[in-house]
Amino acid sequence: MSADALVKIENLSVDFSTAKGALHVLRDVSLSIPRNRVVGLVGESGSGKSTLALALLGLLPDNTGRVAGRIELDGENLLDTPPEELQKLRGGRIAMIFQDPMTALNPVFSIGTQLVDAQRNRHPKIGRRELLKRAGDMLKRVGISNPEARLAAYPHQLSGGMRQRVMIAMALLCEPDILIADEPTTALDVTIEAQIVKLIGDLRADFSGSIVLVSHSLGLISELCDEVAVMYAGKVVESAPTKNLFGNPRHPYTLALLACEIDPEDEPGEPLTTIKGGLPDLIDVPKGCIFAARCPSRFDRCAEEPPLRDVEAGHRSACWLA
Amino acid sequence: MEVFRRIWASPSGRLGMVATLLVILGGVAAPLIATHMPNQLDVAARLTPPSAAHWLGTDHLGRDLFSRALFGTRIAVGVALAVTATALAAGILLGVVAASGPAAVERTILAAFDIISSFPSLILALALVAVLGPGLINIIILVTIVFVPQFGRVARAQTLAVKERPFIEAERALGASSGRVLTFHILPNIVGPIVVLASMNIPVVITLEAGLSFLGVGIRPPLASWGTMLFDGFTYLEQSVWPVLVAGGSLTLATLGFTLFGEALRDALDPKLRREP
Repeated sequence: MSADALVKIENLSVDFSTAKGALHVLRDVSLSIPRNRVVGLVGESGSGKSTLALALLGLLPDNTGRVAGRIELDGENLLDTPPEELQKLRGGRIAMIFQDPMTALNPVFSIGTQLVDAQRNRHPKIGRRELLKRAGDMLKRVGISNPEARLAAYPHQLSGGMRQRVMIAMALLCEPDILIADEPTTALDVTIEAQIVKLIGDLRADFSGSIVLVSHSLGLISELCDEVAVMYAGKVVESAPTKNLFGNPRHPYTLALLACEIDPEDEPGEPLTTIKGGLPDLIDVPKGCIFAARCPSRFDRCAEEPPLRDVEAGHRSACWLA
Repeated sequence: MEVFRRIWASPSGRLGMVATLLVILGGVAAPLIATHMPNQLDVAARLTPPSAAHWLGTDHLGRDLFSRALFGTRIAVGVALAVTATALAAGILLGVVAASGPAAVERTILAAFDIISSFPSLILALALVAVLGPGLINIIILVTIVFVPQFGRVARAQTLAVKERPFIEAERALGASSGRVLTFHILPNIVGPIVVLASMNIPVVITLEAGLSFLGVGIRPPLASWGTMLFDGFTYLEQSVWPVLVAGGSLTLATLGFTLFGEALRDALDPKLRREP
């Protein structure tokens, strides 16, 4: 979008090899992540949003087949970067918050040890005592009371919400340029979710990097993100500043997603809105518009694949009707 | 310490712990406690019943059975610990390599494990004695070979399971190298079950060593081993029952102690039986 993009993903395609053939998980994804902004990636399960996050980290699974395109971090193509260099980037310039805080911490080490470990790539020369102190300060910043006691605690002694705060602290301690949060609240109950959302919102103020927020919750996205990319079946179908996307959606899939949100005003017993049909086959990908089979406004031209194009400044949609 | 408290809490664990401590103490302090040198002959007093001079009697050469049993503890427990520690280390190494190395390496290691464990352990040990010859060091080496596969298999299975857990991916996402992931995150998470297996393995090694020595292919006389004592006692059973009783009793005490201790350790470490604080 702008020249000031921190990360620029261009025509990224990723295939997974399966027994039935190549699974086209990401197809021709282009996306840019501006500096100091929060970009939301939204889409249903299997749309490729988590794969995109893993590709950014250089941690695609072992069964990854073909990878094509570019992922540029400050102009450097991550896909050409040797694994040792990538390993140094992780936990340095790129960090990630995982979905399930109950399992994302090593059960046999104390919180303090793990927080110190996480800083190793960023600050190889600082001593353990100093790193531990920084860890304590960070715990306080993410809203954990009595950080000294928590540093000595083991993961199973903390609640889910506290563990997610620890995960966030761990990622922030890396002082990353880009922080990837993969469904950071999915595993938490709603009251804790609200607290974590508020925490991420508060941290935005003094966090200097960009955040990529992967979620299927439109509420979360609208609350936290500056820009949103909607993914469907391995493609970005619409991307726009948050206000435009929610105020003036220009792709039928986005509209359908919005319609699926539960409205608390609904009468009890009112059936929930769904999108009819299922995700298309990603091994033998159908021709034409990928959403056509489930689209209520389908017409003749949908047999031809619509490109992702600007419909207004900063707002792109892959639909002939947009 | 918490673990020992839990072991102490069950009656069988308490019995196992006391017996294990007795056996280990007896072995360590053998030169201090023993009333005679283990190979000191007293031809005048052969195959005597217990007396003030010989607390548990003497064998067919007039050697003091109490002292020999004590020194036999050193052989039995020493061999068991050496074998278990070596098999544990080799098993963990091979298991982790099999789980994280290339497929060809994994297949080779697993095939070797399968071949070794397809023989009954005593038969395999006998066959290996035929190749290596008897003697203390050889016994340790060959019994180790017999026991490596079970540790290796558990280590491999544990590694495979732990490798897929989300915190490993999280560690990698935060920049840990594969070597670091292996040593700091996988190893500490797989040792629990393997240590329990090791503690249960000790009595098995003790009986296997005694069995080999009984058959005359293990520890060679005049070194005091419960197995050789049992064999000598067996030969002179008609004249005195004491050598067999002492050797068999020591063997029973040691294996029972270690078995009960191992079982209690397993229960104490089992997270299903433990309430999280």
